[in-house]
Amino acid sequence: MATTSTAALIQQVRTKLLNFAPAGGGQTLTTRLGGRLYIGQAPENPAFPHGVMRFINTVKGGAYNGDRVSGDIELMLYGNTVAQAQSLEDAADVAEQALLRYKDATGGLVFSRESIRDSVSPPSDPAMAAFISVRCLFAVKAWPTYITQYATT
Amino acid sequence: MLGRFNRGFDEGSQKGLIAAAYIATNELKRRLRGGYTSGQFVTGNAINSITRSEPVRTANGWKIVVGTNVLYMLYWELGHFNLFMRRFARVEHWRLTMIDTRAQQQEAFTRVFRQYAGAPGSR
Repeated sequence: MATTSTAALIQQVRTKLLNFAPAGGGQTLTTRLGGRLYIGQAPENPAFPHGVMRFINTVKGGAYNGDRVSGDIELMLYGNTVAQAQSLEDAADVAEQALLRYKDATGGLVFSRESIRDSVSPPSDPAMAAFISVRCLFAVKAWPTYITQYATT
Repeated sequence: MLGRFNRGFDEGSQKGLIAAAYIATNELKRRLRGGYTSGQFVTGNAINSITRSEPVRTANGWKIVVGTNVLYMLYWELGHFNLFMRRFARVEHWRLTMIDTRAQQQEAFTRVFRQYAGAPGSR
């Protein structure tokens, strides 16, 4: 696990999400999303469905001298037709399978054991297209090496 | 004695949560006055819809909810394809307001809780 920077940490989680093979031979997120899992924000006019992930709400508490990062991996899955609702839910299932037992201690410790998830129904507002989304938040704890390398005790 | 403590604790918790919730709703309304990408997409109706629940007792203690019943604010917060702008749009106000006002909320809760829970130096 590369935890030499926040960007590297997110990239590793993205790789885990995309490559996780569900038990029983289910499709990976690479297949389900066509590899369209973006970090930060999607490009202009992306194909659907696609996902966007961020590392948000991070806190480095004083109880660990700031060494431990507590935050959330936010995974937004977007579709542009109601017909994609089921496949988005299935993709969210795979994401939960990939991250709820996720731990990596090969280069700084990162793990997740908790998530919340919500499905957002299509807007009825005329200003908004048929647009569906599923939001997954994975609580993540990390001891990244870019911080812990300065620990003296 | 214990009954008096419990009454003070419950009343302090409820009043403290209301005080904390007003910190969040006031700041949200202030931030939304300028709109999302422009003033076009926020109306007085949307701002006035930002409100709080009554405090409720849960298995994990007292709880209060800050929210709105105007759905398009949810879509702006989580992202949507905006037909007027012809592009994806996502502007977070709620999450960031909750984070940014956390210390003020804690301070407001503590100040009010102490008044009702009978801590030394309170009313």
